Amino acid sequence: MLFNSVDFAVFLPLVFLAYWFVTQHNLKAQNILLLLASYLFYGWWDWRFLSLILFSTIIDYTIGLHLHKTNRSQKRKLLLWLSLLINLGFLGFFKYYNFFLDNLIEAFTFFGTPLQARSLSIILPVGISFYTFQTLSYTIDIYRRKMEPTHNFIAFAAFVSFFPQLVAGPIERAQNLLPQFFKPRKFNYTCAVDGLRQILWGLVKKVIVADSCARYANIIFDNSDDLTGSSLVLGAVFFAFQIYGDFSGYSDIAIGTARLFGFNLMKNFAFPYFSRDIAEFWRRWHISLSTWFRDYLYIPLGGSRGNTAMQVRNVFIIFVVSGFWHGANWTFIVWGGINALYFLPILLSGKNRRHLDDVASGKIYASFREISSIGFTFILTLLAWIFFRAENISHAWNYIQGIFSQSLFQVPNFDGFIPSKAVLGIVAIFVIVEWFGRTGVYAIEKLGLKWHPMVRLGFYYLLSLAVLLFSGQKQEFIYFQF
Amino acid sequence: MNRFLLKIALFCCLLLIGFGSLFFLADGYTDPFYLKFTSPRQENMLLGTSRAAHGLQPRVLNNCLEREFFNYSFSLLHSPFGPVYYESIKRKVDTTARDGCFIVAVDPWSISSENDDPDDPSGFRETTGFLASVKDVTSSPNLEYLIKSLKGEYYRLVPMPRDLQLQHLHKDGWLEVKLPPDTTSFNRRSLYRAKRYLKNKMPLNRVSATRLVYLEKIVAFLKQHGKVYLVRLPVHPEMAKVEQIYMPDFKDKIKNVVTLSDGYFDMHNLNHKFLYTDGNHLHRDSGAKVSALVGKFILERSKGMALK
Repeated sequence: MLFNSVDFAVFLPLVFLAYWFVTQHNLKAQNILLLLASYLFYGWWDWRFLSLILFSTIIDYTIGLHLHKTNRSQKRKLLLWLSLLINLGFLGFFKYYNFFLDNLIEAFTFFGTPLQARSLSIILPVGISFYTFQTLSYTIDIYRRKMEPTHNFIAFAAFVSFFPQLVAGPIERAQNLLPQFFKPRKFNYTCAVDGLRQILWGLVKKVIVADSCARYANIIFDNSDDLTGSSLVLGAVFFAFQIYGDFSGYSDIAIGTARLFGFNLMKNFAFPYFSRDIAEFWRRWHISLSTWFRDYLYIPLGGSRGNTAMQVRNVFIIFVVSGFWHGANWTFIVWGGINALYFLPILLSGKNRRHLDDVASGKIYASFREISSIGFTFILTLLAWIFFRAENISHAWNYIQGIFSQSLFQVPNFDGFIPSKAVLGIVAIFVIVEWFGRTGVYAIEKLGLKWHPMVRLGFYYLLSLAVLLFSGQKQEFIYFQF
Repeated sequence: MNRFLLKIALFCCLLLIGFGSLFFLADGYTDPFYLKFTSPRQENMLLGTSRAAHGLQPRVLNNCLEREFFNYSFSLLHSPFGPVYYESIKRKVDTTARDGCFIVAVDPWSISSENDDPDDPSGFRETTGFLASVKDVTSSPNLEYLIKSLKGEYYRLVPMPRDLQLQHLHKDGWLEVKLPPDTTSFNRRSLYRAKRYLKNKMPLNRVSATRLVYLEKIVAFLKQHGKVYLVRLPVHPEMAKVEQIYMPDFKDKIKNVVTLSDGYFDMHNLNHKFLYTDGNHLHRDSGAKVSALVGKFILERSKGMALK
């Protein structure tokens, strides 16, 4: 079920009403309802994959209990490895099997020993990368004795499958989300209104910004061989805003929806395109994944401690693994590698924590220096996004070569250049709103709070109407495929 | 909670009212086809794909032939000759008329198909388009069309400053593209389009016997209601070269239909005389000239017939 679909527009109010009225604020009944709703939400795509999520839930619930019971280090390690093996085994099979097989065949063929093996037609279960990491955080935290396991299977299953963030995050830590299933939840008017506001902004990002940009990004990337450098630059810009609007929009809808049910999810994006360097960008982009890798991979590897070689190795590992997490394609691996290359000089010069505050904090406008830094960082991310979006490495390489050609200074020549100017206008307005709202959790969190209530209502009305007017473009959320 | 639900319900109601009322603002700037579905049944029509939609101007033909023409042409995606267009034309023609005039624009692409089996009508691209699904072609406002054709891109309903609009569909069905005559950019675009047709479109297309049959059926049906003329509209010389490579025997392919019609006007010997926005479509100034020539041709043909 897509957040921007009629199905969800019917599903959400029904679950909301049942949750607050039918369950009579009974915690157990609320959790059962959330679990059933979440399974319905997930099964809407393909009910067969429910067995997968249920199996993962049972495994991690059971392993969690056994981890807590035993103090024997060997057995605890064995249990942890079992959980890792099963969870990552599923992920590896569904997501990476064909990739490894194809590369193995190519490698053998390259060395003159053709290998006979057939790829399988595997359907990737929606959101498997997200809920796998979420359940892993539970087992690992119990192993590290950072939390105790739950004995309440319903609450645990609801935590694993919690529908607002099940298929595209934020990837919640068990330590943050699971305890919320045990706290009595009462309806809070302010929280619900705030949740709706965040859902509205998420829909604006997804339906108006991302889907409009997607149309032109697709045209340009699909015909990149025949287009001028200026068109290719526009294609990269459209894609940059498509992926940001798409993914951060989804996160906003997820967080807002969770608030309607009395849950607080972690922030996933913090206006990343206003970052002044790549280190800041990675503190602001897909925060739940970055921090997951930081806590469960980077720090155990030694983090930024140790000698330079160790630091370089760790940075490359975390960025390449992060790239590979996104998909079984060399383009994602290269995308991760490029970001590692961007990040390393900043880390090695000790400047990676230079920009911990918001840009132009306390001011309306940024300084020239800040604008230059933001612009430079944005250009770096644009170049990396080309690999992320391209079909393969040679496509990305040709695309970049096409940009740095004489045609960079010619008029864009892609089909739809004239109507695409309207989308650039939408992007410009969006950037302005995000700029003025950059100190909030989401851009319109505080915008208009001091306005007359009718003016504010009019503003929300116009935004809602705009979402309806753009609602038919219906591009799937990009991150569903991860 | 009650306050919350009440406010939400009120907000949603107002939102739906506001949204619904936008449908009544649809006009010739909403999309390139809407007004073709809002006029009553027609006695005199201009038919074909986008070349005819851009190039054949009813007001010019009205002056020449002293009739009220209506342009019921769409695009290659929607209205190549086939069962879908045939059925839609039947819904649009004033079936009580016996003295109508119909101008049908023909070209190699509108009798071709990109299907694996070019003769299988179930695989034609237009079967999933709005021309197939919209049954009511004469209501104003036409909600069925708006819902089915806009496919959720309802922002097109919002009135925009007209000076900013590049396209304007006139009430008589003519689609005007408001571009100043810029030979350099037109030529560049035309060459690019011709190259793409040669590289991408031509290898995919094959002549479709089914489409030819339906072209004949359309002409035969229209003949019951008046005179039918076929016209091959001019295209950019580079595009003409591509068509010559793709279907050098086009004239032979349509000879049965030509025989059935009241006249065939091949304008390809005049290709170099006109301006094209993208190789396929006549610029509006050239479109007026071409329409006048078509009118003149029909006038001469009908005079000749009257003399006979």
